[in-house]
Amino acid sequence: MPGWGAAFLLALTAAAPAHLLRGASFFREGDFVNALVEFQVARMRQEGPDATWYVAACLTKLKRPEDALEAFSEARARAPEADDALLDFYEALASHDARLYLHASDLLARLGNRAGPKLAEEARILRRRIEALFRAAPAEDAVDWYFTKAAIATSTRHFVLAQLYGEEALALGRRRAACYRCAEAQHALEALRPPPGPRP
Amino acid sequence: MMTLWILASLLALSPAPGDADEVAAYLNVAQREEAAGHDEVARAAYRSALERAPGNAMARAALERLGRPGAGDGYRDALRLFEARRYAEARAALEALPPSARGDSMSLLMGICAYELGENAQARTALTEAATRPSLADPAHLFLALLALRQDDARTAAYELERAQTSTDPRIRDDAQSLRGAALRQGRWLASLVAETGYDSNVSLLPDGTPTSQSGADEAARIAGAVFFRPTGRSGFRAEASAGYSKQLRIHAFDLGQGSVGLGWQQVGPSHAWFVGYHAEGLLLGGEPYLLSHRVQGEGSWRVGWLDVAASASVHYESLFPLLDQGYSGTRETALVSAGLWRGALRPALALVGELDQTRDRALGYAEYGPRVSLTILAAALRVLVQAGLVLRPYNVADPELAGTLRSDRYLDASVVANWELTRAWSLRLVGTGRRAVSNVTAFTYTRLAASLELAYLWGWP
Repeated sequence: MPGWGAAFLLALTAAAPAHLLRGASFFREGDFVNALVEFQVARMRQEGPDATWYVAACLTKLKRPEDALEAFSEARARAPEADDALLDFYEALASHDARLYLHASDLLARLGNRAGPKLAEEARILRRRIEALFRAAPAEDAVDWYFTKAAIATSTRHFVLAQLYGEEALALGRRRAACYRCAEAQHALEALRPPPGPRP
Repeated sequence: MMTLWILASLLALSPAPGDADEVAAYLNVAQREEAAGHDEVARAAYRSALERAPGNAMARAALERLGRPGAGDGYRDALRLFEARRYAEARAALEALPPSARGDSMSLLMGICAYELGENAQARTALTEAATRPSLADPAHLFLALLALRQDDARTAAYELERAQTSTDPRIRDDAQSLRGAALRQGRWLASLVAETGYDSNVSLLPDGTPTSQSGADEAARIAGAVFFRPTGRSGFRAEASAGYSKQLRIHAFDLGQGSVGLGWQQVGPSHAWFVGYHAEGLLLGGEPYLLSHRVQGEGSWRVGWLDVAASASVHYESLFPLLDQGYSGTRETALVSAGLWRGALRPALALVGELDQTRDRALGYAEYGPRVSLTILAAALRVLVQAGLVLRPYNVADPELAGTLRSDRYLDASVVANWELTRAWSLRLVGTGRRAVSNVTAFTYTRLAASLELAYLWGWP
């Protein structure tokens, strides 16, 4: 039997996506810098469609939330089937770190029954923290801050971030009595949408 | 994703000589990370490329440029100096580093060094730069708030603290929360209003064993207000006025009214604060004039490392009104020295208190002294102070009215104060106090327990 086990491991090693595995090993050890390097190399070498998800998770751990959110967006487009509850939780964390609180809250709400008990508890704590931020209507200067972030992201061609900050500005504006700057936010979001493709 | 983690733990993974495509991929990652200013990741990628292609000149040159391997010692040395709170040396070490060897958190470290060294303008420049980077923004906002507080800019402090309070790091959130009240208290004008209700088991200090029909227990309601004016901010001239009235439900002889006015000079620096001032205070007891007091006081505190060392002294000139026994009038002096931690969620402190009461009737005068220990617990919007103390009070001379007995008392005091900041202006306070007085004269041995609930509103402007 030990011979069968060794043979299995040997076969697995030969076929294994080496950089994905090295990245996972670093990630487990908490070395997110080297994990990020390995996952990025894995993505370049097309070792698996889900490498971008792991890149995004590393960026979240390294407190680069805006880079992480762009990576999550790319991952969702490339390999939607690889998404799982843990990765959604990381995306919520990155959103929270980027101060996209309502976006984070939506992601956490979507976890639902997919999360295990420990993850569900962490998600519940994070949601409660976010809810505490919105007991009162957001201040006008808070909404303004998201407009500024969206404008900066647009000018630097980070359209995913521009979209996220614009949506957050709109959602926050709706929480004020007179729907503060809502029309402006909707207009900006319309402008960010890709033009419709040619009619068949 | 779980499958990948499990698989990785089963396999022993070590780098092997790489093919040209693999090395190129590492170099590609490294160059993109370096261009984006993420030097640490870039260094790791260049190192991985070099492990697979030891002769790769580009990776070797880049590591030289980025200060790795080996050349990063300067940054680590600077961090060590910073952690040892040797800020001037840490800053010099950081400044001596070549630009490529400076870590991602350079601007934050430089800002904190300048803040701790009292160089406000340099601190603001560096911290503002740090605040633009998501990974550094939370501590940068916290230190920008501290900087604003130091410069009496309450509005900016409140703005920065609001941002720091959204941090995912609970330590930063707690620090921001505890500073929020300080920011509010920095206005030129400050007003407070307190409404309180409470229960006291022994308002009239009846001795233990008194028949229950003569119980001294009672409930009370109190309202109080105060106004402070500081035309030059935290440092400089200060004037204040306060008034309050406490109404007992049953024992009206202990209804207490209070009014006071005061002025003084306060100086607040980055690691010290002191105040000298004068107050005049009048008390009504049971609706009748009771006491007029003039008080001169001085107090100061200094931060030495993690310790906050404080001392205060006051002299009270007290006159009781003619209707009452003039024997209690006289001079009372108090003194206190204390030392405690001023950082962290748990802040223990030790104090020594002393009081000398020189009454007109010498038999009523005493000198008391004793230790007091306290623990302040900070948890987000909640601040809890637990305190206990022992006071020894020997009287000066034997009292003829006590059959010539030389009275000697001991007081064991304990209190818990929980303050919960509901919003920036409103706070709720729950106070519990207890005193066990033991005297060699039985009539002065008593127990008193009291609890009160206060709702306070604090308004600062501008």
